[in-house]
Amino acid sequence: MQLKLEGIDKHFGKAQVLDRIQLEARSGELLALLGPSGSGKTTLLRIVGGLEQPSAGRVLYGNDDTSGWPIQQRRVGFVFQNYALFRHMSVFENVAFGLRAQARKVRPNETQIRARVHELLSLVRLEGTHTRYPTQLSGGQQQRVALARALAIEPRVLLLDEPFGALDAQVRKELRRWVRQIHDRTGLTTLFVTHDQDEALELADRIAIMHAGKLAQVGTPDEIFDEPATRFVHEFVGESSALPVDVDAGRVWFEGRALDLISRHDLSGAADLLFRPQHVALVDADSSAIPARVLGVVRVGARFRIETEVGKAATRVEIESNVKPDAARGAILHFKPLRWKLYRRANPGPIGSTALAVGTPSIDGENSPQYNAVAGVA
Amino acid sequence: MAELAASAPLPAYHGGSVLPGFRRSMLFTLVYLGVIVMLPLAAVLVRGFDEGLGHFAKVALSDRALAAYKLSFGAAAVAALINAVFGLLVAWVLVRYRFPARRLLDALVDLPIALPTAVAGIALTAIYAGNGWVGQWLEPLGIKIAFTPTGVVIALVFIGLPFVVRTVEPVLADLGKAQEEVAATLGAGRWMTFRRVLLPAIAPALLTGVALAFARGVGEYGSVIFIAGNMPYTSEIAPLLIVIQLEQYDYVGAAAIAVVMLSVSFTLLLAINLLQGWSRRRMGMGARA
Amino acid sequence: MSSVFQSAGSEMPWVRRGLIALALAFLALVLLLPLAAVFVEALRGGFGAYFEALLEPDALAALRLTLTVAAIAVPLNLVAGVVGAWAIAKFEFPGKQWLITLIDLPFSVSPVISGLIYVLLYGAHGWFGPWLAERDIEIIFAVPGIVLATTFVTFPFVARELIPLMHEQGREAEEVALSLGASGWRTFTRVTLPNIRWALLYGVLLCNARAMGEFGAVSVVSGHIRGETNTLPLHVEILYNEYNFVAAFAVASLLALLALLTLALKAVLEWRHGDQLAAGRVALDRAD
Repeated sequence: MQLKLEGIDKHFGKAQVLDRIQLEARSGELLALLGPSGSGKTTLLRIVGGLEQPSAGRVLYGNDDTSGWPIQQRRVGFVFQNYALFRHMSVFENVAFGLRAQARKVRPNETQIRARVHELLSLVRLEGTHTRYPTQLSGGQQQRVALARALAIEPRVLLLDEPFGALDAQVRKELRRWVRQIHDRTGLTTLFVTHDQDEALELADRIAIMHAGKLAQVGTPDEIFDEPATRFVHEFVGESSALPVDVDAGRVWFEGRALDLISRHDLSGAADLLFRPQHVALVDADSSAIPARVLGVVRVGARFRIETEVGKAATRVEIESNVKPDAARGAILHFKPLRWKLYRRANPGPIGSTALAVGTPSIDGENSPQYNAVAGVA
Repeated sequence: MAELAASAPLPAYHGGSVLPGFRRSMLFTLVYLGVIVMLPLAAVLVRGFDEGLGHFAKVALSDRALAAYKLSFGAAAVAALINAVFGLLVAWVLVRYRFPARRLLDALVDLPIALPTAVAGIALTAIYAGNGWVGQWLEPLGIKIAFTPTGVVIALVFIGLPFVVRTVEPVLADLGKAQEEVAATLGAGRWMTFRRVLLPAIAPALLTGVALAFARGVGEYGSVIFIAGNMPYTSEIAPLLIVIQLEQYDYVGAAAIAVVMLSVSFTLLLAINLLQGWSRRRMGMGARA
Repeated sequence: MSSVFQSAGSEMPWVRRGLIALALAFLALVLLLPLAAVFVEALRGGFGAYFEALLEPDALAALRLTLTVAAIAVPLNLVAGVVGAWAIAKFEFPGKQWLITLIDLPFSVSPVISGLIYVLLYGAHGWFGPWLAERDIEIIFAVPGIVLATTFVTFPFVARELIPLMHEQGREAEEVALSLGASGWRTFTRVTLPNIRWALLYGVLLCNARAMGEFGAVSVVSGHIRGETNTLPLHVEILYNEYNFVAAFAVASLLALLALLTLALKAVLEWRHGDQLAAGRVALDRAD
């Protein structure tokens, strides 16, 4: 079932928590709402589920405007971060709850309920636990019961609020994989909220990045990672380094060096050059390469991280490399960014720098052709 | 190394901690408890049977005594049940809703505990006697409250209220909204959510509060003695019977009745403790969302 | 958008209002009415009669006795409560639960029985009766008996407040102090006491309220000798039984004022230092 959010606003008193959210989740899609705490993602999820009312705008399930629909009638599967299992009920009763809550006319009989509960418990791989109580289960098990409980009512859409937040790293990884499997099996439109970008990148079909109540970008994990639309997204997802540069008629200058990067847009002025450690190539000394003073080399898994200082402001820049560079501390290396983005630099005026954090348009850039040949980018 | 170990022998038992003063404080506590609590209670138990089981039965199980027990326990039970319903209501309203004077009323819930029982006793009588504030309206309708078992019930409702409210409030406050929200998303209406999700979660606390109110009501004296009729066999509470035995210098008889009442109190205390232990195991420290 | 939105965790407005009204009516009937009755009846004869009743010699004697008894019982129980709580909360030993139950005992016993037990011990026909009579020591039907009975009845208040709190606070602070070289006593006064002071104050408050207001237990051991062995609550009873209603309520109003003061102080303590009182106490606004 398709999910449409149109012009969602939400105020709590004077605070604006959500600002003109326009979002669509395609039928059967797994959409992640990713953002730092306070970005409004949980509030948005709750509005979709009917647990809060928007101050403006509407939510559509398919073609139906759900404004004013009581929660009980929405058939939404909601899973909380803290599971919210009914502690005084057994696992069986927890899962059966939604089935028993149905009006007498449409309620399934005991045998049907029992069959369905056991079916769901084996779906979440918890057969045999139906007589146990929540306090006797581990965190991961409780979360799976919560999911089974939500699935019991055959929901139209599944809403997960930081479902793995309360679990430790190992369990979290297992459950991540498993949620993806369940999603693929049930084909349910699923919205899940997380502040963990690895999770979002791994699980989601598409990601909606939220910041201070606004949508910064919506796209596939690749799009988000490779083509961040705003500076915030660039810095929030994956790692970034930022160097202050000057752009003059499309050419980029860093501390008097003309970098061999061409901005597609015709603009001038102060800007920041952002790039990722993975998108950098080490080169021989060159007038268009950026010199970096080595601070240290660290092994990270199978690769190497070179920590450097760049420029007058001694900006920290990290470079990822597959081979260990032959450079001691204090040596100077040269590098060129292969993939990069330019963002206008803020006037730290009355608006302050936060105004720039969201919605700063990026200026796509590309490397000059000779540059690409040197760096070995197709 | 060996010298060090030999030169500092540990005391025989130190309560599993390096903190000082275990033996001394334990000793003090046991002596204090012994003198103030255990000795007197032992006296009751012994004295109650001083003149043999026959005398014990004659006084403690006499018709008059049985009538007194019936009144004390019966009225306490009825009052506890009334408090179960209304105490829950009051706790719910105080925890869940906002309204003017809420904090003031919450503080006042403890009035029955803070107010001396004799003061409560005469105040209640002034209200419910035939010519009293409320009594005067009910008298023409043939409803008598003061000097009847009904009066006793009313006094015990006053006394027991804080016990129910105060045991339920923390659990209600801790419940959080998550469980109710989940229930709603699963399709449960408000009443069903209350019945199947909220009520079971607070049931242990409610039961504990009711048991406490009941235990308190059974032994209550000061607030009841004025409003009860104190007529033997009809409106005489058990504690009064003890006082009467004492005034007749029948120490043994008084002790005998006390033994009966104490046995009930202990059983109740035990039941309450077991209940709390069970609910803690089953639901993990009350119901947390 | 529909005009009435029912959020997931709340009732329809009319249900809510109805419940509030019902609860308020109940509280007004059960709590406020008796409270009002005390003061209204006390002033029924005007302020003149009111003060006359309070300044009457027997009333003043009762006041003195009440204050004396409290002045002895409360500090005793304060010390005992602190010591007991220290022994129980900071150490592990078998039978702890039994000890705690024992401490709670006076709470669950009928006040009349609380008085009875002392009569059985120290009364004329009690265990120690003859022994005391020989030495001309009067306990029952005299002030010492009243002090004993009051001490028994009010004993748990301090300990009950302290034990859960000290248990929750654990031993770490004290262990740190000891490792830094502080003596046991210094640790106790400089580390433990400050941590429990509000709970201690709270317990003392409740202990005092009960000590001054105790009726049943004191009634049994006192002998009701006017001007000598009557505390304020007993004096109220005497006046009432003599049909001297205005005077009875006048004296009662004094006790009611004490109760209100206790409640007010209690509320202030809970509000200001709720986090440092016994576990399980709820500050109302946590509910949100």
